[in-house]
Parts: sequence; structure tokens; C-alpha cells
Amino acid sequence: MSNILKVTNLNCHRSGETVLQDLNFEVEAGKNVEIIGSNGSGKTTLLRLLLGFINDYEGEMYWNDSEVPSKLKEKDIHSFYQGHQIGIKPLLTVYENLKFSSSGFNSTEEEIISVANKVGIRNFLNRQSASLSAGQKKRIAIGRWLLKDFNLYLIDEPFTALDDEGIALIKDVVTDLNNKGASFLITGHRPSELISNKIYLDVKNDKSR
Amino acid sequence: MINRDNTFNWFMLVLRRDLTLSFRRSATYITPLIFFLIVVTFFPLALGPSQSLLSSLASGIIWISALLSSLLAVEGIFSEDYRDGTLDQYFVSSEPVFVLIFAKVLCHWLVCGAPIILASIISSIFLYLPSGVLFALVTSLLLGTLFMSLLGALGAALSLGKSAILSAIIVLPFSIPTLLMGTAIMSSAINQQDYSGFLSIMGAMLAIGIPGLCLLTVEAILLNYE
Repeated sequence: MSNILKVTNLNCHRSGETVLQDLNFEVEAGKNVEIIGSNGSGKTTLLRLLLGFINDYEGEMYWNDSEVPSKLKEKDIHSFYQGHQIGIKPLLTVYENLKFSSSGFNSTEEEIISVANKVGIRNFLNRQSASLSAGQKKRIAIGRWLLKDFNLYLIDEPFTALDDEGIALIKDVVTDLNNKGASFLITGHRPSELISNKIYLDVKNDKSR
Repeated sequence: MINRDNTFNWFMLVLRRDLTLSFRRSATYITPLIFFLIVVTFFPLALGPSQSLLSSLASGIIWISALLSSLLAVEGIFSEDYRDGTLDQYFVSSEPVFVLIFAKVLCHWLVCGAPIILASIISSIFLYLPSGVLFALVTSLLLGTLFMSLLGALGAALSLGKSAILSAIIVLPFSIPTLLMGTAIMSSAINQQDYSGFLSIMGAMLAIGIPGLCLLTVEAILLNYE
């Protein structure tokens, strides 16, 4: 199995404090990695660093089995990022929120309807998103994962605000996308059953103290 | 490799999305327009209704009011998308980001700049601006307000997450060349001289400004992510 990402000896300091220390991990194509840590343990920093938003770090990242370290943007990897703020506009309808997204702009109406069906928001497609619950908004966000084929998904705390059914939905969607060869890097406070490969940021940081 | 069809779809998508959002939130385009009309109306009230005085000041009044009003809504170009995570998602996608910036600038110009140009035609009547120079007024404002939207986007990007007035303060000193060119076009037109040279300079500023300022804006937004 090939690696989509290999990280070696990653260290990151922000405003004089050590945020990430000596991180080593690999993400195989079609497999997932879960990053677990408490608040402030550097989960979001790690994702933003991998995306190239943060450039102040030591260590190497190797994308797509490359022998040479590089940045994500330099490689032909289609990635999707979902931060804490999931970018759902209250003034747009559910349909528009799917269509006007970075993944949905090339999608046809049929594709959007079928995705909406899959994530359980088919009945609200024409409703303004302001009237939806937090969990329903999360479902729009999950719909966006499906509108385009990505190689790598970096998702910050997807399980918050979701009921059991929503969590089951994420499991389904992630398994489907894994079968297509996509990988997930997911962060969370607590280990989920969904992903067996886990990185514990707190443990790493504790060692340093 | 940039796929041209995709890039055009991407541009149209962002433009349509921003226009839809602007029209559902009517304050975004009505506020600059009303501000412009109020400021312009204040001058005859303060200076008195003397026709010779007002007509000699008219082009300056309209230009300064247009510059100030076009900066009014500048902060909103990126702030909401930055706060709610949309900008993150757009920046991570493989589509070119400067296209996104230009679409957002164009939307700002369509909802703020274009109505101001229409309002300037109305205000030229009660400032006694000679009707022969209306063409010069509209073309110079057309180029000038678009350039202001580009500059404003850069200011908004630099002041992301900070106070709204900061972007206006960053941008205003850089609007001096636009103001000088705009008023030079107007005074040439009023004196019935050829103003095509000044128009060409403004066009050239815009031609450099569209790619140059859009790329600078991308970098300015990335600075906030560091």
C-alpha cells in the first residue's frame, strides 16, 4: 500500500510554546488516521500545518510516496479541509450551500440531489440554512465531502453536534470514500471506534514535560 | 495545470454566491449608496446654492464622496468568509485563489461601485455639473471605483479579524493617484480639453492592478493564517 503522507520528526513552536513535538506518522492511501488530544493540544495546528497555512515548523513531510519533502500545494493531491467553522452560510439554502462550495461548483443538480439523499437532507434542500439545527448543518458539510473526488480529507472534530445516526452516517461515508482510495485525517477529543490508527497528541506533549 | 472550463465555473460560482448573499442582505448595497447621496447633498447645504461655486467644486465633491462610500463596505469582502471557515475551504481547493479574489472584488464593485456611478449622475444635476461632461464622469468613475474595490480588498485582507475602519485607513492614502487622475479627467473635460491620456493611465493602473492587487491580496490573507 502506498503512503499519501509520511511525517517525520515534526516540531512546531507557536509564540514560544511547544505545540507539537517529535511527531512521526504515516497515512496510507485508503486508510485513516485519528488525531486525539484535549483542547489546546495542537490538533488544529497540525492540520493547518499539513495544509501549508502554517510554515513555521521543523521536520519533514513527504507526500505521495515522494523521497523528497514537499508542501501539499506542490503535489497533485486533491485535499478537502473542514475546520471547526464548517462554512455554512445561514442566508443560503441547503442546495446553494452545497452548490456554492469548493467541491460542488462543478456538480449537476442531480448529483447534488443524490448526495443530499445520502446524507439525509433531501427534504430541506430549498430551506434557508439559518433554520437548521447544528447537526443538520453538519450533514450539509458531510455532503460536501461527497461532491468531488478527493484523495485526502482533513476534518477537524467532525463528531461534535452529531447524534448517533449522524455518527453512523460519517462511518458509512468514510468507509465508502476509503474504498475509493481516499484517506481521512480526523481530529477528536475521544478515541472513536471508526478509526483504528490513532495518534495521541497529549501523550507526546506529556513526555516533554 | 489549470483547467480553463473549471476556472471559469469557479469564477462564476463565487460571483453568483457573493451576489446572492449581497442581495439577501440588502444593507450591503444600500448603505454605500445612501452614504454617497447624503455626503453629496451636504455640500450645497453647507456651501450655499451658488451655481458658479458648486459647479466648480462638483467633480471634486463627487469623486471624494465616491471614494469614501466605496470603502464603506470593503471590510465585508472577506470578513464573514474568514470567520465561518469558507475561506479556508476555498484556499485548500485546487482552484486558483486569485480568481476567487477577483470574483469577490467584482461583486463588491457591482453592489457598491456601480450604484454609486448611477447616483453620481443624479447628484451632478444638483451640483450644477455641466451636462457635457457626464460621459467623462461616468467613464472615470467606472475605472476609478473598480480600482478602489481592488485596493479595498487588499486593505480588507490586511486587516482581517481587526477593526473595520482599519482597512479604510490603510487604503485611503493609496487612493490618491486614482483621485488625482479622476479629477484631472474631470477638469480637462470641463475645460473642453482632451482627457484620453488620463483615461489611458487609469486604464493602465487597472490593467496592472487586477492581477497585481489580486495576487497581493492572496498573500495578505495567507499572512493571517500564519
